[in-house]
Amino acid sequence: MDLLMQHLFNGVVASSVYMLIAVGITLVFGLTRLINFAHGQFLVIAVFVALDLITAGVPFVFAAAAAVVAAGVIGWLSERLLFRFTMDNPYNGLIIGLGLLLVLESAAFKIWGGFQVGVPAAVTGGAGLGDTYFAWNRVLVLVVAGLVTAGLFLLLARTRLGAQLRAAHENPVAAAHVGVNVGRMVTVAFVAGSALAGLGGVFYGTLQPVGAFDGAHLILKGFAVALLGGLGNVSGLAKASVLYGIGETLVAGYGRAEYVPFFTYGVIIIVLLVRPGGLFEKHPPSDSTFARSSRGVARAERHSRVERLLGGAAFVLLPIVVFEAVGTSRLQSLVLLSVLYAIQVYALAYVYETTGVLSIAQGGLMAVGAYSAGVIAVHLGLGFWWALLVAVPLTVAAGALLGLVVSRCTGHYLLLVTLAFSALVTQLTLTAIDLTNGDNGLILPEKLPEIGPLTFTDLRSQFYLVFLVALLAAFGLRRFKSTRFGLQLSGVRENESLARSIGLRVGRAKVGAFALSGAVSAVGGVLYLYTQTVIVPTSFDAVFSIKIVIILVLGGVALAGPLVASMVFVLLPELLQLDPVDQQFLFGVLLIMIILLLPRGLVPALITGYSALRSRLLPARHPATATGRPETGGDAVRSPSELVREEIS
Amino acid sequence: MTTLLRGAGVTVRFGALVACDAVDIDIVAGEILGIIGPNGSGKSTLLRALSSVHPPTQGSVFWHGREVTGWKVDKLARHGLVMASQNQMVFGGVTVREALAIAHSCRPKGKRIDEALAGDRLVALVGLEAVLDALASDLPLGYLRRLGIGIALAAQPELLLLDEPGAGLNDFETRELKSLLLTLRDLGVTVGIVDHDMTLMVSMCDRVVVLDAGKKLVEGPPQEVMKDPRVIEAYLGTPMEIAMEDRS
Ligand SMILES: Nc1ncnc2c1ncn2[C@@H]1O[C@H](COP(=O)(O)OP(=O)(O)O)[C@@H](O)[C@H]1O
Ligand SMILES: [Mg+2]
Repeated sequence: MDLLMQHLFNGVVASSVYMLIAVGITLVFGLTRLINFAHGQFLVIAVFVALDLITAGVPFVFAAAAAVVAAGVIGWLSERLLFRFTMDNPYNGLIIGLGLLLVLESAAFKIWGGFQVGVPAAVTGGAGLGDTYFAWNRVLVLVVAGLVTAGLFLLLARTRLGAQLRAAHENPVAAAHVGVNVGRMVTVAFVAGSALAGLGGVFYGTLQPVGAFDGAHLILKGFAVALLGGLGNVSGLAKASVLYGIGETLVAGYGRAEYVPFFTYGVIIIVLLVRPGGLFEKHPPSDSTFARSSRGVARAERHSRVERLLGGAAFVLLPIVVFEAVGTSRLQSLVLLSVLYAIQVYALAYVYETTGVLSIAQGGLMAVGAYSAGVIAVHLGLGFWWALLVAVPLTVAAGALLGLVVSRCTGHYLLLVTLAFSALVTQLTLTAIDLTNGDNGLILPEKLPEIGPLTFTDLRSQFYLVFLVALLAAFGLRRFKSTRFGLQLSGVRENESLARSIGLRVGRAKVGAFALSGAVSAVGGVLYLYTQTVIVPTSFDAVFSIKIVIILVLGGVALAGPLVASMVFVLLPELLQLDPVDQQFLFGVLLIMIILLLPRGLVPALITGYSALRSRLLPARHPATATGRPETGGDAVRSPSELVREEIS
Repeated sequence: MTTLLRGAGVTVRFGALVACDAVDIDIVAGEILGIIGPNGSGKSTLLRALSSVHPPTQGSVFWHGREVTGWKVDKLARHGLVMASQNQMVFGGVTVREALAIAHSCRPKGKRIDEALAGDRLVALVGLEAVLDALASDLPLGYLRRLGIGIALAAQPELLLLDEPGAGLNDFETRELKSLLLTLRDLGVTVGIVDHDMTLMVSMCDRVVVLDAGKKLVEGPPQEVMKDPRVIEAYLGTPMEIAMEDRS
């Protein structure tokens, strides 16, 4: 029982730090509907900066202040240089944040190395009261974080700046009309939120060690708290942080530290399922911004037949050409790997195209498929066909579950929920050591089966098998579009509330789409296992999921796009001889640049460039004129091909 | 004469504002019921409450005599009550043909299909033959409205609620809309309509309900209602005849 007191105290201290993170998230979110994925990494950077300065002999207070300033400056720069360009489309902002996270993580690794570090506590010692030990440092953290938060509330409630911030939060348009500089308020929120993250980082660093790649995990924690409190609802945050902090400490104290991530992701998923508005509010915050603009990337375009043929034939055959052209088996196996990636991209593209949800959980789904196949092979000695028999239904179920969670929430939650799902699966594969062998991975004892005279023991035959499956997946998913189910999904994509208002069970349709995509992910996952023969949890972690998203964004959803983009994506780092950290840096930069410069993706941009050229060279055809009721509209009715050309040029 | 939809004491509050104040309303099978009233009198709010888009804060809604208050929109739609509001009427990025196919796919599987409200006959009914291959988002307004109604009809509604389907239409398009709605009534689809075009409403509706400041003011045959002094009062003292002439 006495231990309980200790856990409660530690939990409250931790919660004061989470409060700082969550307030920052909420500040920015309230004004911009944006969740900055890189926010958690600001904490990490603050830890490193503070540690460096303290090591160099700077007193704690000044080191902490410098770390706070550093985080604030990074926040300011990211708003000025990146996020301000996506303000009208928070969905793109989310993806930019993701890219920034990758960049900052790999940069932190380059600068400070891969070790987990802590910040030396400002004060040492403490006092015991019964069996509970109150370390002065923890008391300090609690008091300062409490004071800062209280000060912030006062600032929001009492000052002119606070009033302007609240006005911009309540109604940006009206606030702008009465003279509030909303753009400046956004900057203020970014800087203040990031500075709070900096302070939170320094404190967090005195409580537990932090590594260069902890940003993703920290943003998920902050998000869990913000969500629990009701996003955008500042007053709910205090209660939520305490609940979360104590819950987490209890889980770690009575369970194991490895269980904490389950707690975090569990909170996110369960809150979204049961109370999407947070614990203290019944309705989620309105999401009208997203309803209008959540379709920023990789929008399916209408191409003429020539373009489709061009894309279809030339690009689709490209992997074969490349596979046969590259000499070394090392490169050939990379081409094979890229086609394995492409299968996952097709699965993701299907969900994206049909439901408009850009999920960062593709790695999670693939992991369910690959690991279930691996586990039954290693532990039960069951081979390929069994693997399919087990992996497909399991992954379909996982996909349906994901779809269920996703269909309960909108816009800004989506990416985070899917990220949480992905992280949850990774954590499962890491923790269930008896089954998965944890970090050491599973080594496949089975081989691909023979089909009649065909064997799949060499690289070439495996490549063609996987390539065939990729094409089948692409065409197969495409075929679903004209079915009743596919049409319903088009309805969801084009106008969800209209589809609902004419009787469609929208949630069910989304679950169906995720389940179907899960089936493809499973087959791809099993093939991954059977061609790569080793799987480790990090093969399918969040970074992998993000890679799949990048490929989708790069290539667009068209048939050939994913194949070409996967090849570029897998081969390029190898040809440039980049190590994984450099690769991650490159991915991040790529992601940011694509969103800022080519929001429709690279391959579609190529095709669009081609058709713009073509329409300039070829004389325009006569517009189809409407028969009947000519006096009705005023405008002549235009044919789709014309519309396409207008849209493109 | 069976009552399809009954709202009993329907009240909708937005904070302190009472947008609908204890409104009792019946919609009878086979009629075209008009709901009129000055701007902000709660017409749209009433329609949204009746169709469960934004369920009433207080009061009840009955469909075929069965209480359906707080049902989900899609469930009510599957039972035959569909509302089309002007701001979200169509599927944007697809062709008209595809939009209608999508609408067709959204209705429940086992539902009995009225052939007049499906396939080519539906296309002809709403007059979209000429634009089947045009992108829905690029249609002129008149066509857009008809597509919106076509999509709603594909769900095979017994009762179709329309919020300002005539807004922004020119005279010709308005006349087309009127004849479409009259045809619908003949086909057995009951219509509840909100619109500002008094000429249209008076000449087309079998009955009108007048709202003012969230309350029901009067109801009855359009010609009679228009002469009611309370209604004239509600429209800022403008005699209805003048209001009607004003707009042409
Ligand atoms: N979602 C809402 N939130 C707050 N107030 C609303 C909302 N919808 C409508 N109102 C208010 O309710 C009143 C009635 O609006 P509405 O039903 O749209 O009127 P009408 O359609 O008759 O013009 C108006 O004062 C309007 O401002
Ligand atoms: Mg209205």
